[in-house]
Amino acid sequence: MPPLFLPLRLSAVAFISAQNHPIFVESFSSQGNNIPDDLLKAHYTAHTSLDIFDERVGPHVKSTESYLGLLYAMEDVAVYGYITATKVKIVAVLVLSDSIVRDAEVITIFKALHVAYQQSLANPFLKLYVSEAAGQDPAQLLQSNNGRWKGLQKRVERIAKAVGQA
Amino acid sequence: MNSYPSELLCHLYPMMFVAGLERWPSKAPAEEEKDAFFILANRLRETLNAQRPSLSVWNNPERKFNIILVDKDVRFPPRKSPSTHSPLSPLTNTSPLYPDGLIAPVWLRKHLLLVPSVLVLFLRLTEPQFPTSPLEPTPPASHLTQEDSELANEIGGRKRACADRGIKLTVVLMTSRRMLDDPSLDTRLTFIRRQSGLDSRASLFVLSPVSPAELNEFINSLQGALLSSAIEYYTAHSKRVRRKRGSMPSLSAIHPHSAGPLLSPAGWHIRYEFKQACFAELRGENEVALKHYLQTLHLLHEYFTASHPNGSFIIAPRTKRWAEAKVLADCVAIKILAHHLSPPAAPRLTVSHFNSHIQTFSDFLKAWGMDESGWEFWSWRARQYRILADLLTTSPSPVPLLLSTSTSIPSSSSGASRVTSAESKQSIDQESLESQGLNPATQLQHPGIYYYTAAECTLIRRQRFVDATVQSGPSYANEQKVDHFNVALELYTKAYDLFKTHSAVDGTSQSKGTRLTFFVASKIAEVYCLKGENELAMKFLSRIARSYRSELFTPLLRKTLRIWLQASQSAGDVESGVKVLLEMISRQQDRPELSTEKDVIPTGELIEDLMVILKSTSPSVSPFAVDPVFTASLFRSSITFYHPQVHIDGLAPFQILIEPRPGVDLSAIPFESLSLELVCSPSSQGAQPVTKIARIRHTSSSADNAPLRHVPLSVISFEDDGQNDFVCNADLSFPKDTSVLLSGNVSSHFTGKLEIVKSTFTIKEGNWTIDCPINLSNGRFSSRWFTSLEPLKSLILPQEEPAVCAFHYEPHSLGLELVHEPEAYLDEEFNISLVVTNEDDRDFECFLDVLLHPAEETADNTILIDDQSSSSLIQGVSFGILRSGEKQAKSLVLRSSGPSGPRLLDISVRSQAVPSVDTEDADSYETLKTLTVPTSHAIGNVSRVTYHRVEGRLWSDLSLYDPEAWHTFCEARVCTTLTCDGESIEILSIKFASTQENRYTKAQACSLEPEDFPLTLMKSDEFSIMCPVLLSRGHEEPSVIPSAGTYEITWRRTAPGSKDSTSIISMPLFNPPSDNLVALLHVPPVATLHLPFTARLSIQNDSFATAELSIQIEPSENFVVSGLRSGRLSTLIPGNGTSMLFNLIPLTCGPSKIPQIKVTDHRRVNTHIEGGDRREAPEEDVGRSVRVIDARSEGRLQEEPDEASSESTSAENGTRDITVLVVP
Repeated sequence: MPPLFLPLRLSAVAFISAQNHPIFVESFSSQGNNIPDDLLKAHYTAHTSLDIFDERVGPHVKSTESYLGLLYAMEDVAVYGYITATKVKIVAVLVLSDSIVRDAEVITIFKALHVAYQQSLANPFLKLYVSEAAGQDPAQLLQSNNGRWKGLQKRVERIAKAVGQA
Repeated sequence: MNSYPSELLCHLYPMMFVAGLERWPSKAPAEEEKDAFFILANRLRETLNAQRPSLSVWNNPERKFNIILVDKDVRFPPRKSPSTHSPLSPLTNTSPLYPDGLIAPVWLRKHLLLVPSVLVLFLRLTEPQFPTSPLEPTPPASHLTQEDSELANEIGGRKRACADRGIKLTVVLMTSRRMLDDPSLDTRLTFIRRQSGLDSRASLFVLSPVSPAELNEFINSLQGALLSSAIEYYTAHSKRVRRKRGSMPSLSAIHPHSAGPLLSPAGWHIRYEFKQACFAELRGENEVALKHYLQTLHLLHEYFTASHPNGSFIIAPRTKRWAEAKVLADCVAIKILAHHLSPPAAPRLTVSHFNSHIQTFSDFLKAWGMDESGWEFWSWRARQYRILADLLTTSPSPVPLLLSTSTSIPSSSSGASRVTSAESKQSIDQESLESQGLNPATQLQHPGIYYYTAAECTLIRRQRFVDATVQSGPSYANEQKVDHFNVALELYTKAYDLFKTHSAVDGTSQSKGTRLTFFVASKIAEVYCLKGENELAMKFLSRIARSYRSELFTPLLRKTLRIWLQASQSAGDVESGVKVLLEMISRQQDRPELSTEKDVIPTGELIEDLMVILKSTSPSVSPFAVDPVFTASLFRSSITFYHPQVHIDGLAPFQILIEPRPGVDLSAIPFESLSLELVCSPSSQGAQPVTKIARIRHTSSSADNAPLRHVPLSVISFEDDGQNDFVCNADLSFPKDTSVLLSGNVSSHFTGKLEIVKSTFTIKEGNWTIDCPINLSNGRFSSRWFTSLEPLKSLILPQEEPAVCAFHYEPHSLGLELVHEPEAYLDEEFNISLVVTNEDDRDFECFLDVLLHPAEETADNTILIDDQSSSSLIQGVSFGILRSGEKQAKSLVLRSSGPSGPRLLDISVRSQAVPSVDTEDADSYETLKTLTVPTSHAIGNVSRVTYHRVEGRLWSDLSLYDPEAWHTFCEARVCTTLTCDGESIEILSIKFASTQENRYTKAQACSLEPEDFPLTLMKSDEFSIMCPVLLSRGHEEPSVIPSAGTYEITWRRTAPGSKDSTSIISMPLFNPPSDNLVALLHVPPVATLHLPFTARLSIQNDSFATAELSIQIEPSENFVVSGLRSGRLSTLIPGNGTSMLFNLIPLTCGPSKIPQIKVTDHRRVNTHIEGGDRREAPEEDVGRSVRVIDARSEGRLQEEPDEASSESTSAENGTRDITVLVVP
């Protein structure tokens, strides 16, 4: 009988804008040798999970829940989803272990990630030199600010450290 | 699943043999077709054939038996003698299992095909020769006895053969319908049954030719009746197995001298457990079967781990028995999965069983020396995932999956973990945990995910096989035969198709739900690429790239491009290689924060690769045009027009900034030229857009290495209709962190929208001329305008569309002047004078449009120009042609009524230059002005009404009850005060008009005098009109009495030339106060000392109760009073009044108070006391005092609750405040 609860381990995190453009994707790996592959995998995971986001929050689904629960599990990861009121999608990739994952814990992680995102977006300098239309899409905003989105990275890393990295 | 013996996997049903339905050879074929029994047998064969043994792994709950049609004289396999073992036992020398095999599929085949639990025999019952006419005598049945006993003997023989093996025999006698009604049938049947020794229960049926529907019913009921016999049969087998298992320790004693190693007791346990499971399944006891299967698997696990004291496994790996046991374990695992997935499905148990099987056997494989580094491990794993996916896709009943829209999402009520009866035992404990969350590892997912995993495992398997160090042995030889790529492709394709159908069923739009398919497609492309089918790979990749490109998932796009490049290189497709390389160069620095350094190939290397291709090859077409998507982001560029609009013949300054991505060095790319395509779309309809090409040729200038190079272009003119291209030279090399700023002007002689639609860089190298279109839209950046290069300074322009500039005519200079009084009055014709002046040097034809904005609903406003009038819009009032400097005026009249407040007017003058051109592109212009006219009342009015009592009403007057009769009950005195709210007005006349046919009011008089008018009122001056009105209630007694009439006031402004206006003011509605019991005291205002005067007290009872009154006059120093000083008055019934006279002689001079007169009503009033009891007021009650009012000032205002109370307080004071001035 496997242990009922195990501490969660975060494998990757992705923020995706309402227009389905990636805002920020980060993977956490204890072995430093494999990073590019992990990051690429995190991108694939983020991209494919959009299908399930579409399914769960489509026009025919009437739900006001932000937390979408388990999206899918593939190979060695379990993918969880969260959608903010502005339709920004947050994907948390957890390492798959044969134990029950408490929703409350995952929701806490998502809330922390959401706050981190809000704090980063509140940076007024992000919109400097950015056209009006592009300012509406955080992904575009980010693209125009090469390297200026350091705050989010730091905050997310801090959350991942607190949760326990893969 | 095909790699396992199907006997071990298929679901087992009780076996039934059906005999006696073969053809009857006695008749000719032509006769046969007409024979009812022939048709019946045919139908029976068809129906029963449908239940031939199937090899499906799924349980069909509607199926009861596996049915095989056999010959009438079918023979069963020889029965083993009690002393020997069965030919399939490991203890038999000839058995394939000898000496230590567990169980063979052939054992199951026996129960699937060879040995039935029930035999159904169809036979014909001989029929007597029935008479053709009722007159013929019925032949005696005695001659049939011979045939019946032959039949019984035949059945008896069969019965004995079956009874030996415990098989149930059932006979179905086929006979005609006529025979069924024959009275001798019962006797004959009893005879046959007795003679043949058949059971009494469900062993003899009679069937006559019937319709197909009835036949089906018969077969169903036959199977239903025989099921219990079949179950008995298998229960007996089960019992035998249990018995043998019980006596197992003695097994070794039976064959002490047997050569070679024997099957261990653990092996025998597995054998018996498995048999038990099979028999339970044959009995239809699926839950029992599942329990036995689980136990079998558990025993197998122990069997695999058991080892000899010397440490070696009892069952050595890679032996025949080991392989058999492994196959058996996998098959049992699959059977368990199928049982879990059969309704009621238990998805969670399915997945956890699957996971534990994978985990356990992964550990075993490692222990057997087949760990992850070998292909066998991955081959086995891939097969397991594939089987799970196959099971999920072939499952006849829907299984709740995680990746499905039917799943309700949020946590606690997760639809994927539906608790079914099978799970219920475990789920009781789980339930509390479930409410907290779920275990993602035990969620049953979309089969596509399992196919995908199987494919991934297959690719690893291939890799391990390729990397294998030992390249010999039978397993290597076997593996060599496998086409790994095809297997992986098949699995990926299955996953792809499943995801695609899933999204097609679910998705509404095309872009929706396709990302999983793109993901799998990219894997397929990779495999094609590895397999060498590069063309196919490129086809896939081009579609995938499109999706990643549009959703800005750049790292995924880069990965796709890398594979694409490999594929194109392998395929030798230089053109696609060039395209992909160009895009790779352009995407290298896209989203650096989303990628790592390892992910990015240095741009220099890519450009080198590109140059090598360009120098060594040649394209199929020249110039080679690249699709814009490949090169669009090669540069980050923006175009800005300084003015959003420019007059024709003016200049439109623009700047184009072209910069490579930060940190990218494009100096090695030989850009030959840059061409800009400027398009001006004329505003006139039908006119073709004019295109102008500006070409900038590269000339190298080594001196200029500034980060921002300025290339001034002169004026690009559309005046030659784009006939000639604009050409100039500039340095188009882009070393790291340098950019080019092109600036110039555009001019046009026609109106229209100017855009730069396309900008293309041309690369020339070797035989290649490549046109690379680049994106010129500002996209994400706000538009900047460089004001200075040294030092660099720029402005941010506020334009919404900085890349577009419109050419248009110069606006018309027209003066529009509005002359009017500052304020308009209601009911007057307010004059607004519109003066249009042509201040331009052109001549215009002008038209006037006036829009009156809609006001409140009660307002009624009208505008008038010339002879046109409207309440909203007047259009196209012509001013005619205005020459330069000319002036024209029009008068607009606004007439407003209703509530005061501003009136809003939009005044627009449309002008068109003359001579006008009859096209859409006419030089026309609109001058707009909005006018707000404050509107108020010229004359304000306030009406004040006092109501006076009228005496002498008697309710005994019969005329009062005539509905038509006039009866004054009150006199209203209306005082209307007119106030001049405007500056100054002159009232010409006021006329009073009483309301016609008014049964309630009669105006008595009016204070208006004709000689009062005309009357000039200045601001805030007031003028009052008095009008007494008699009121009658009539029979209806309305609560509010309508107005008595209106005043029609004719007035005008005092300014000279003003027009007369008429306002109508309506008298107010009457709402007289109601009365109760009241006493009015009539005294003269002035009296002379010592001279007597008469005071009259009249009491009116307007209440609905009789009044019992008493009066008392207090003595006073000022007056001598004669009359009733104290006493009771006659009872006053409702509606009646009485009056009495007093003589008073004043004794003092000056304002003297009248002696106080107290009138008291002694009528007892029932009072409500607590508890709801009605009790009479106590005897000593002094009664209620009645108001005594001075008749000289008894007028009342409209009834309001506050006033009533104030009046009652004054009444308590009696006559204390009534004074008379006494003069000497």
